[in-house]
Amino acid sequence: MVEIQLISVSVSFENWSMKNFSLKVPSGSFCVIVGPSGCGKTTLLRLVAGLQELESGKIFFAKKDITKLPAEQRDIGFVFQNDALFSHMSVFENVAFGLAQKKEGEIEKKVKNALSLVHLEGFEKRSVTTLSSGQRKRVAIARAICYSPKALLLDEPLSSLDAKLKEKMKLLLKEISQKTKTTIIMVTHDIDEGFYLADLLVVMSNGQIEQTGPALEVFKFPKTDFVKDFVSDYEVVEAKSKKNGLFEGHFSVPLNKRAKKVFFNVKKTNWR
Amino acid sequence: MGKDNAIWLVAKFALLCFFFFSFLYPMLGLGVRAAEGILLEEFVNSIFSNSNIIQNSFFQASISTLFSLLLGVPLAFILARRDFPGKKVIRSLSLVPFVFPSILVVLSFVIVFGNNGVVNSFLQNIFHLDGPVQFLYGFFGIIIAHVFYNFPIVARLVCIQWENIDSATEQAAKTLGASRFSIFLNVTLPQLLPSIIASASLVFIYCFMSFAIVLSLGGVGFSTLEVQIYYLISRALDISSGASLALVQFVLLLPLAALYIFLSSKYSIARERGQNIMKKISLNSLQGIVEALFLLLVICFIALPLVSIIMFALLDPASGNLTLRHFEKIFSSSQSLVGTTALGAIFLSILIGFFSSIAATFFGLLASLRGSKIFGSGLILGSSLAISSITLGLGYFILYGSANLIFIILGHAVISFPFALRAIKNALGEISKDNIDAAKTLSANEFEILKYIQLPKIKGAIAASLAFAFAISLGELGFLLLLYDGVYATIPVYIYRLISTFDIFAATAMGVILMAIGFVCFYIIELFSSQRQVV
Repeated sequence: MVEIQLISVSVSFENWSMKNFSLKVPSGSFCVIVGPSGCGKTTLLRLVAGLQELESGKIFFAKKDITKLPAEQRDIGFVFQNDALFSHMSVFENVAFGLAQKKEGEIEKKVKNALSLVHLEGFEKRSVTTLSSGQRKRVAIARAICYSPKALLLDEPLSSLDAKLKEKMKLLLKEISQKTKTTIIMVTHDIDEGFYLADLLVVMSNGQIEQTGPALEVFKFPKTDFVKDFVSDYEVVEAKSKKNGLFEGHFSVPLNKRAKKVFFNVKKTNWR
Repeated sequence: MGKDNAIWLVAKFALLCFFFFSFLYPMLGLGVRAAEGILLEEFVNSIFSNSNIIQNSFFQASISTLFSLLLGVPLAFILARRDFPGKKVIRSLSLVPFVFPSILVVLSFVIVFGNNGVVNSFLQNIFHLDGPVQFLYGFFGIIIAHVFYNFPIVARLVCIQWENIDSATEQAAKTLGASRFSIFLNVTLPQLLPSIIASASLVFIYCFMSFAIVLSLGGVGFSTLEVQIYYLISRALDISSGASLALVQFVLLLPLAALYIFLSSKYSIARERGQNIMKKISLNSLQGIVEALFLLLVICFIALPLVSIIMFALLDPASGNLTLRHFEKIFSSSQSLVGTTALGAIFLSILIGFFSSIAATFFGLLASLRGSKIFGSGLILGSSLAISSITLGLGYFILYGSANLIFIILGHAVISFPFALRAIKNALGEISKDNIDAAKTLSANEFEILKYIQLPKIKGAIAASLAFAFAISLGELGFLLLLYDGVYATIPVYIYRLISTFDIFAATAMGVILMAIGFVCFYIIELFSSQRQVV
């Protein structure tokens, strides 16, 4: 659990670059970075993980400069977009891999804990090639959190899952964040996920930060045209507690429709 | 539909006939002959009296395989994970051994390392030695020649697998705190292992049944099963013992061939590639310098035979000037030494190559389309890989008597069949099943699917298969040498005779012609298979 800070980080590729990028993620918070594909989200994660070399700038974990520290010594958990599970190993071996590298004890107990955190108890002996996409993703998360890393980096963790599973995993990620109190940075192209999960929401486009702040603030007061466009399909509604855990609110939306009555569908999981 | 079924029936029948007459029947004949030996206790005798030869074969093949791996795996790493100028050329060069006739390897090694070779005259000039340093003839020379011939096979097969490894798995291990060594040992190597074992078994098979190299470089002291079988037939006329040994060799190699096919089917399926990092070789680090030096060594090793043959073919030994004399000599004299003229040998080689490559490709196509429904094309592939050209030649010898052009073409077709089958099968496998299902829903029948979807998509593979089969037929020596009765001499036989009579310069001139034809084949293969796995 550390504060993560990037100070004027620059990196460039053949036809794309990120210049003087700065961001501060408070310790223990859930930071969601949203942006269209190709905006540099994944590059940002790889910079923090040490998988991508930067040209200039500095990266700090808990005020300590780790810019030059190689990936294997940064002590972070990375969940890759395609899971990157070791297909020649069992679930147990995958999840235990980090502990084995660090020569930590109590491997079995810790693996069991990690698997129970992602609700995969009893899957230890299964081969990862026999798992469903949701199960694979959860193994990848368990592998990343098993040795209690300083930070957890999630690269589009929900993008390959079907709609129902996505909602379940959203809840699971929130649960993991609350139980482990790890600093989490997650990138996604779906701002919907950011609304529910983010303590700190960062909207990016083309290697630049468009807006950063609490999710509600970004949704209610978009600062730039880009962000306005990004959140324009959403209407944030305030709801007040009634009783028995029920909430009630009302909203008005301009609709170009001559009708007495219309129906809206509100996702029950999209609240904060 | 009735007509379609009839056509498929004819096709299946043709395929069955091909396998029966060109492969199964001769092998049965060989088996029967060996069985006669078993009854007469000759079988056991011939094995015991040749036990040291069997040991030789195993030992030689193991050492050759080991060194091919030691050179091939690092090359695979550099090809898969490094970027450097000329990379494409090196990649294509790794195909050379498949189409490079072994007799040319022999020829170039004689030129460079032989008793009167470049290295020896250099040493004699410097150290004023009394006689040549003998290092080519015998075990040592065979190993070098085999490693030259086979390490690119390892590099090619392992490289394909290495490129298929999702480098995100290695990065995941890195973020989990693994050291570079640990990543290689626990993550990379286990994923590479199938290709390493597959290429090792293929190389072992090739070295075990290597003929021209052992025959020419083995000298009196060193012989292997394959060469011993040839001696037993051609010199001692002991066909029963030859058949027994051929059967033993076939049975020994069959499990390895099966292993190769099983493992290669596991990774030949093109997988979605991860975003793999391609680092430039930088001469600023020690590792970069080592990598660059290694590449240089590989280039020299591959280029040595090619360059030395061309140089000798153009060299006037007396004056040291360039000359076309050797070419004039082989074309002007109607040499009866090898029973044919140079033009005759070239014509015959092309004729046999032409028809055998068409046969191999045609039956390869039939077998990939329908083979599995008849008798499992894996089985066919396995047994045709484990059968050496001498073994096959012996089967033909026993059943069909002396050589006949038709049988030579059939035999060459069988020898090149595994390559044709693999090239076409892989290409067919790459066509997405959705494509074919889509055609089906659009009411295309099997023939229309073949005509409009499959054939257009595998055109390149068919061209590559034809070129591959042609090149293999072109370089084949053992099969013809065994059936050789003074009538049929192809280019490799011609060169072999010239080497035997120490007419090295004429041999290199012919070698250049063989190389030139081989190069055309190689170019066609590369043109049509840049992304596809041919072998």
